[in-house]
Amino acid sequence: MNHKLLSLSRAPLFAAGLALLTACVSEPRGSYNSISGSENSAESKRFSPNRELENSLEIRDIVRVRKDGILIVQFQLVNKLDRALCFQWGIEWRDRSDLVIDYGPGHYSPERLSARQSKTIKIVAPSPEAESWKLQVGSRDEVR
Amino acid sequence: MKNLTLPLSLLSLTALGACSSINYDDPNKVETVNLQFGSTDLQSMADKMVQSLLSSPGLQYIDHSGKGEDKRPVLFTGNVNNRTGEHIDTSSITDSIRTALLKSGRFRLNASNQGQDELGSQVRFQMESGRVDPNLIRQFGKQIGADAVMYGNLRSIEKERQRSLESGGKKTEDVYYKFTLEVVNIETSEVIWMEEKEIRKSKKTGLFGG
Repeated sequence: MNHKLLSLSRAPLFAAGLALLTACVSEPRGSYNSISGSENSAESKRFSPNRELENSLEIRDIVRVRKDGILIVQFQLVNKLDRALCFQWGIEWRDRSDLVIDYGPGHYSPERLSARQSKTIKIVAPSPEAESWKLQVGSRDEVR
Repeated sequence: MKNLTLPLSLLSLTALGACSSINYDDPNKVETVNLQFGSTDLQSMADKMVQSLLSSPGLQYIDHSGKGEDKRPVLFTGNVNNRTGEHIDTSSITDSIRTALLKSGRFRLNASNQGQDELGSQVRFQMESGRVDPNLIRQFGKQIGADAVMYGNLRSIEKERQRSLESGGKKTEDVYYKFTLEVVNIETSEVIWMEEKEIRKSKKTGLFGG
């Protein structure tokens, strides 16, 4: 066996491995996970079809309070991994009749948490009519 | 047959390369086409400002004599100066903020500068054209006076590091945006609310990247 030829053929593999190591960012693909709650209930409902994301990202310490007539929700996003985690999140608000409250800049926010990093996010409802909320997290579905 | 392989391969490659498609896509998706100011920047800036405006204790109500029962703040949205090196239509940010504030039901908004121009020409048309029923002509002088004015600045700092041995042949580009917005009480000139949103975007291009 020609050793020089062997090492040459392995070069692309090494390069690919090196590239993977340097990227070191997790972007769990697949379905969106959600957590929803309402002003009148202490319980939060979790729906987590994306197990990879569920194992990477924890949503905890949910606080909901009505201040000056408007609902405020706060939660903590925790990266459970030893590498950076990229995802996006968005929130949907509903009124007493469970109708979605449509407002201007509702969109997904890109997020990047370093290894084991956590971030507290506080969101103010877009209208006094908002009584329940649904937070959705998923992979960064980017327009590239 | 063997002689045909190369031309056929070239032809199929050309056909593949010529393929293009147009798709409708979600306007809320994170956009990372390039480093320039984009839809995600606009949305996150507007969102941060709306969140902050809605939760500001100083903007729960503004009262003064003659205002009546409705104490909600009446806002005039002024200009956001673009102090970046890019061409950015900053009115798109204020439009998003105005939309969300109005839908929230927490604020009353005066017509923008564009709206005032349209109102002026419509009232003049009603008064001067002779085409409108005199009993139904609307008059100037009945607009609601704004309690406060909102205006701001969008600034950026751009940096670039060229490829070098030290950087492993990578080129790095970095752009930092800072959007500052403030609301000032018209009568007292007191700043009653102020917020800023920072965005940093960076791009690393490998040795063979464009």
